[in-house]
Formats: sequence, structure tokens, C-alpha cells
Amino acid sequence: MSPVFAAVPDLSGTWEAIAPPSALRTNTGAAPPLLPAAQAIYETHRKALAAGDRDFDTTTRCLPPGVPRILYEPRPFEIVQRETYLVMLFEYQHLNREVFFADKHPPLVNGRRFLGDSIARWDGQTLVIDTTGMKDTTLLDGAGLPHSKSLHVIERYQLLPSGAGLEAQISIEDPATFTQSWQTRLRFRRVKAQFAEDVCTDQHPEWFSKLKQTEQ
Amino acid sequence: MWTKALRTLGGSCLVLACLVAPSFAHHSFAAFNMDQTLSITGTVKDFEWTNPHCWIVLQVLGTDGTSSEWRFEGAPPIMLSRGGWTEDSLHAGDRITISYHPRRDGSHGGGFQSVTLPDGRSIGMGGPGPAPAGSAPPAAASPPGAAP
Amino acid sequence: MPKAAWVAAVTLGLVAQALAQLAPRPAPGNQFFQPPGEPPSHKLLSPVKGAGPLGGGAPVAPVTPPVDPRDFEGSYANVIGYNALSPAGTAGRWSAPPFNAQAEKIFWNRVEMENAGTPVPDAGIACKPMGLLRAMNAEFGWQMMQAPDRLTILINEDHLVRRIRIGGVHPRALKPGYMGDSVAHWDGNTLVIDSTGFNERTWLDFDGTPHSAQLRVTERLRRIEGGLLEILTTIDDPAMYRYPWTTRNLWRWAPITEAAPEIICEENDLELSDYTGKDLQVHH
Repeated sequence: MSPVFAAVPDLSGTWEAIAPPSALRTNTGAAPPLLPAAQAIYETHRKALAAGDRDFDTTTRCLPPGVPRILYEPRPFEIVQRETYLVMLFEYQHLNREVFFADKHPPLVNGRRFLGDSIARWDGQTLVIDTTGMKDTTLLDGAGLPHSKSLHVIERYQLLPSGAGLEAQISIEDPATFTQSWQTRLRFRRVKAQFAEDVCTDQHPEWFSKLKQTEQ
Repeated sequence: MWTKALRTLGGSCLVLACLVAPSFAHHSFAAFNMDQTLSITGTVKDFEWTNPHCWIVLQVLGTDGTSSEWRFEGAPPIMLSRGGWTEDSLHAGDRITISYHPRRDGSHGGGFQSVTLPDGRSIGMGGPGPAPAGSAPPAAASPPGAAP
Repeated sequence: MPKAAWVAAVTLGLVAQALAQLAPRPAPGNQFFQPPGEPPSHKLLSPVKGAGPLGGGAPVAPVTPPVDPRDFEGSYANVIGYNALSPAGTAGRWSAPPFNAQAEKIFWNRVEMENAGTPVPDAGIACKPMGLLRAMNAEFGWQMMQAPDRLTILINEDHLVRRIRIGGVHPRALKPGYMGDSVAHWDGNTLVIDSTGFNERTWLDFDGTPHSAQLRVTERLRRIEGGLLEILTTIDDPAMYRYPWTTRNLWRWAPITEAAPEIICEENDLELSDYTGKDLQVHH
């Protein structure tokens, strides 16, 4: 390993979010600064949720939750860290984010992604993950906070002193949704976990009830 | 089906499986008549750049003057992009000609092979396919991350 | 040779030939086999010098395979595409695995239903994981990340993951899953992976080579020349096969330089309507 890489922290290991909220707030505890049109959408989602209707939430149809929402799932994830990339492997829907150290985002040859397109760099001891190219059918949180295709998420990860865990400072910028960019924070603790196999469609056998089994 | 070259081995070959690309398809191509390639012209109503398959919804004017909707299924984005497709290749309102394998049940649609765009350009299937018998290992059969 | 024996030999030969040509059913899948024997060695490229943070810009992956024969980390493209798995050594043609009567019936039913245009639903139609064998032989290959105590395989399709515990043992109570539970140990420079705990919802390949919950898979991974990885996979399933059988594939190493493609089956699984008359999803 070159001396430069030996100096960066190793975030490898299995982590779990500490008390992840279902509704995002800014670091000052305020509601995210939504533009009026986006605020209206958020209100319809909140009303639906209160009435027990989660149809607006595409994770109910087994689609990925997007970024940063995937970090808020109360399930373990593993970070595998290398010099040229790192991978986050989530137990949830066995999704993963493979993030390469790069100066700029490559062109979206295969289209937008549910989990966006992420690149990484080191800023001293801080890992910075920059994500764009997200599909706009995901939500920012479980309460229905919307976003547009202009979403730009910056996660800054630092190991806390004395093994206290990992902290992510998350910056959310989306000029089509919010009046300004805003920050929120999430902490993670190390866990020992055997990852379970999470197959989302196993929870919806009713979708396949008409599949004719023509074996034997 | 998403391949240009057809390879048969030593005589008889299971009809459909011989014509399909290896392994990718979650589902079979049993719905299509792979022995037939037809052509149809219409106006794009929708282009779905999605997994596991991309879809073109085409509004077609019949000879009797009535308009009907036809649905064509294609390769997934990761394969179409190798042929030069992007999620912006087609837009609602584009007048295009689709070359396709028709549905066996006779309903309006099929599996699309290539598309002629309004400007006359044609885009076909991209991506790896089986090598013709006796040829070198298919260099094109590299997933993202493999050496070029 | 006495004349009678000679006549008998010729007759037997002719009969054997005729029987071989009868071929009760057509071969099920297009194998895309390479010619027998290994592909020619690749000329190794010289390592790229200079790029990296000290020289500015993002770090660059090495372009030569690791020197250590036990280092498998990298991105792998399969050399042989299988629609139907075949025992190793069949030199470019499909030949039947040692099916028992039940497995043979299941397999040919799947093949013939596909041909008839009324396919038997497989795991993929319900967006389930496609199973260990089919995932490893999947078209777009996979990436392997290695640590002393484990191997992580990211399949480049359907965001499937395999976690293999090197030096581990299977838990006593194993909940059957789609991808199985995998533990491994070293045998010289060969990594031997033992997998068990499979449910019955997957096929071994696209055409439908079957397996039961009794399936036990042993994979032997070793690096060979030319930047290739060989995996010999033994399928041991006494409920379906008369004896264990081994299939073989080769993969070409490359550095990990690109993220696995994001392929989400549930996104637009409209083909489901071929089976149920109801779309799972339309979103784009």
C-alpha cells in the first residue's frame, strides 16, 4: 500500500444505523425546506400514510429505497474498503452500492439508478461520497419526502473517536424540491451480524397466486 | 434472441433455447415466434427504459383507419446500451419502424430486434452473443468491469 | 479376428451408430462451448506506473492478475455460456447429467413446455434469486472480494450476493435459501467451497436442470495460466441424480473498475402478465 493510502481510516466492517428516524429533519431539528409544490406532494404522502395507504412508496412494490434512505433501514450493512473503490452491502433486499474513487461522474450509459451513481474521494480523514443520477421514483425518507432528478446527495463519513462508531453528515441539494441545500446527520455502530437472505417478493405471494405451476 | 449470430451444435437444437442469449433472461422467449421477423410502422406512445426488459409502446394505424396500441419487448438497458441505445433514444411522438418477432398468441406486439428512427438511422441489439462455431472466444462477452 | 467375431463387431458398430443417431430428443440448449482444451494464454500487460493520488487524480486499479495464486480478488467474465449444464469433458456438446427418472421427467417437461410456448415459471418470473449455479454462470459474470476469513461475490445481475466463510462451518439449523450457505477451506492453492441449505425454488440453469433441497454443491476454484480462473462444480443431489456429477467453467480475470450494473427485476416485470394477466409493476 502506498503511504497515502495507509493514512486513511478503514471503514470496513458491519454497521447498523442508530435510531434512524423515518422522517428526516435538518441538523437544527427543522423540517426540510421544501418548495411549495414539493410541500404539497409531501402533504399528500403524509395524509396517505396516516390513512394506512403506502401506495405512494415504491418500496412496497419491492423497489430500492434510494439514497440516503437505504442507510436508514434498521438492518445491518457491510463496508468493504479498497484503494480504488468501496462497497456497501446491505442486508435489505441484498442491495449494494459500489462506489469508485473518481474525480467526476461517468456518463449514465445504462440510465439512472434507484441508488444513484456515486463517486468517492478522501478529504483528509473524511470519506466523501457524491451521488447524482437517481431515479425520481424513490423517496428521501419513509415519511414520503420527495425529490427530483436534480437530487445531489453528499455523504461525509468519519470514524468517531475511541471506537464510538461511524458518523455520516448528509447534505441534500435539489433545487427543484428544496429552497436551499440542507444537512442531516446519522450515526452507525458496529455490529456482529449474520446476514439473512432478504427476498422482497417472498413477502408478496399474492402477486404470483395465478402463476400456473406446470411441473410434472 | 438478443443476438445477431445463431449458433447450432451438431445438428438438432432445442428450437427456442438455441436462439436465445445465454442465461440472462429471467423469463423465456416462449411468447414469441422466433422463426418470423416482421416490420411495423407507428408512433411511439411510450419508451420504458427499465429492467428486466425495455418496452416500446407503439400507436399503429390500421388499414381500416382504426388506431391500436402495440407493445414490444426488448433487451434490458445493459444490453441495449451496447447497441447505442439510451433512455432518450425514443420519445413520445416519434414515428418509427420496428423489426420484431411477433407474439405467438397473435396479440399486438412482439420482441423487438431493431428500430428505424425518424431520421433514418437504425439501432439494433447490442451486447454479446454466441460466437459462430469454431471462432475465438467472444471478446464482446465481457461484463462491465472486465478488461476490454 | 475370426470371421464370426468380425461380423459381430461390425454389426454391433452399425447398431451403435444407428442408436446414436436416433437421439430420442434434441439437445436442450445452445452451449457456446469453446473448442476442447484451454484457450491460449494471454499476454500479460505490464503494470501501469505512476497513476494514483501522489501523482494526482483517482487511484488506478492494477491491470495484471495478483501474483499470489490464492488471491482471487477481481472481476470475472465467463468463458463458456451455459443454457443447460453438462458434465465436464463433453467436448463442446451437451450431454445429459445422470438424471434419475424423476429429474429426467422434470427437465424435459421444462424444455418441452418452453418450446410449446407455455413455459414452466422459473425463479426469475417471480423476481426470486436465480440460485447459486445459475448465478455463477450468469451472462455478465461477477466480482469477487477477498479477505482471509471470507469471500464476497457480487453477481453482476439482480444484485445477488454470495458470502462465503473461509474456515467456517454450516450452522446446525439452516433455513433453506435461494443461494445456500457457503463455507470454504484451502486445499493447496485451490479454494474448496461447500454449499448447502437450498430451497427448491431454483433451477440449476436457464433450461431447467433440476435440483432438490438435498442439493449439496462443491466448487473447486483455482487460478490457471492466462489470467483464468477454473471452477469445477460438483452437484450432489441424491433426490435427482444417480450419482454426483461435475461441471466446469472458466472465467477471465480483470481488475474491478466498474460498478456491477443495477438490474432490479421488480422494476417492470411485465412478462408476468403472460402468466397471470396482471402486471407486477410499471415504473420508469
